[in-house]
Amino acid sequence: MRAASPAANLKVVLLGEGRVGKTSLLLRFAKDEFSDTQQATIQASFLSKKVLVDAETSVALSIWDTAGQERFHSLGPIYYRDADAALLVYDVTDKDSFDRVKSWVKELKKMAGRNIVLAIAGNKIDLDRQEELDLTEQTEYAESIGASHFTTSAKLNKGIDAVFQDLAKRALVSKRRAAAAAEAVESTLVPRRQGTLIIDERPKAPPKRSCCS
Amino acid sequence: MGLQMRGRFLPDLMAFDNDSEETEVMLSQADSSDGSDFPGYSSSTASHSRAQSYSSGGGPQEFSARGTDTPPEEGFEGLETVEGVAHFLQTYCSPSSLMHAQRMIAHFNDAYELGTMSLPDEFRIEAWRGTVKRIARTLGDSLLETNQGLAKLCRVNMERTQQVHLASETWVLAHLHDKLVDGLAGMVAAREADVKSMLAKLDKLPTSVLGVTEEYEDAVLGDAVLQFQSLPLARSPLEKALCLKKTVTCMLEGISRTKRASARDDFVPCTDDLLSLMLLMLTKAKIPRLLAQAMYIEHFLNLHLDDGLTGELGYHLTNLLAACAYLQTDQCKRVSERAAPLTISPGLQEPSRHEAGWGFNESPMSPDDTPPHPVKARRRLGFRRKSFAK
Repeated sequence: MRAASPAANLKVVLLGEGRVGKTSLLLRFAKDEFSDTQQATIQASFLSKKVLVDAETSVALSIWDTAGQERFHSLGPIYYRDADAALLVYDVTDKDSFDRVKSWVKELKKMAGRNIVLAIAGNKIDLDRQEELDLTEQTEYAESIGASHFTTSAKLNKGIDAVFQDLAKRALVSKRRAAAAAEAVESTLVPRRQGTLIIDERPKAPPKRSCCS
Repeated sequence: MGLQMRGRFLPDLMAFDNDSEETEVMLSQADSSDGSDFPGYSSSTASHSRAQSYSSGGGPQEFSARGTDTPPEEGFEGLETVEGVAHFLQTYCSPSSLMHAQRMIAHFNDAYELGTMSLPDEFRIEAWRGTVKRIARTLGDSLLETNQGLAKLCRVNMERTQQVHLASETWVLAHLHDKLVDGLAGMVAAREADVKSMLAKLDKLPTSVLGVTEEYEDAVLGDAVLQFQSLPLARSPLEKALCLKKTVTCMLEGISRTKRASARDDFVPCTDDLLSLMLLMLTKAKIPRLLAQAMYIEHFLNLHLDDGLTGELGYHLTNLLAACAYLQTDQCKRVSERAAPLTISPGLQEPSRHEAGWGFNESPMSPDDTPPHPVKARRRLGFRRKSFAK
């Protein structure tokens, strides 16, 4: 029996500073692979995977890795146009990488479509002792911008499926809502056009009244 | 352009009788006027075999469509090349449908006005896209109407339907290639000259300026450049996009080879470096009308899909568009003038952030380098797509 085709194809872009582990997250999620030495991670720049969002619905995620180099930062809009979701990745051991996430968020809010769904992932939690991790600021920031916040480790395969599951679910809802809104706009325009009745007939002249009747 | 027909030519497409008895059609090979000198296009690709057929004096291929065969249930093969699609149409398309499509194509090439320069480019491109879509759609629909076996197969399998429409698009666009690329080249002539000059400048500088060490230079200077140089030979957007994908594959294979041969095991280029490698490849490949070629793929690939650029081919295309956009930034200009290494990728020559132009707490976007809005930025860079509702 053929598998049901996905309810939607969703484009997800990975954004974040260089070397925070974007590609490792992607590789772990799509291929369940991890390499400490970053061998051939360039080959994982684009990967796609089907994700079940509930018992009956699946979506196909096309995940785009992007260059983290600052020199190419201004090219971001070319990558995230038409994206349904963005995963912003930072390194939990590097505060500057989280500041960079904030600048990405500002830019996305300004330039990407309103319907883009955001999630923030604090990666490399394996490098820090869990009990010493204080990510209150990061979590509160994510809440304030309407994004989900996750902690992940590509090395230990922790939290990664949850990130993409969350993105897939919310992006599907957002896409369906946008499609419904577009349909609603269309339907309000069409009846207005249909409702215009053009009478191409000369109105009948009122019967002449005879003054002597 | 290489489309010839036997029989009368009726300029008015709407007046053309679809059931004409003149069913024998001749599909001549298109001229490879814009790049046949480039070596290295894979022998499996359409254009290379087309060039071979010309060089061997084979002349145009002639065929008569049969349109009677029953399609295989497991799907169609070879639809990624124009030759494969021509064979597919010859097998499954009725002669009259093919003839009708050929007349529309001939009319487009001979008489379709690409629009006056006073109109905004995005309107003009959108109009071309609409017309091309209609021609391809007409051919695809007519194919399904006239071949019952094919229609039955497509009813139960949506992927087959998409294959039919993709094949129609590929065939139609292969024959409209020259006119469309010429039109696009006219739109971006000034920018094209700037990019060409920038690439020439960068080519004279050490590769480290682009953030690529000598070690990995070889990864893109061999097969990848040769592969990319065959881009202008390909005629359909799909063929061009596949050529781009093969180019990236060559780069990856080159990196793997370099890695194996290298004594260093601390660093291998990753996605962060993909754009740098692509920029180096562009400086070496010296593709004529690079922007126009990229725009042709961008605007005409997967016309039958709403989200035709979200897949892997779209990803590779976006990398090419990003590289082209970078070549037009002031930052690139400064880099080429300063001619100093400027990369932050660890393992390569890593400058400080201040050297790269931004401090840690500064906004990474400067007014000069960052487009104020994606649409405006793309307009400035010469790339336009779907900028208004369909």
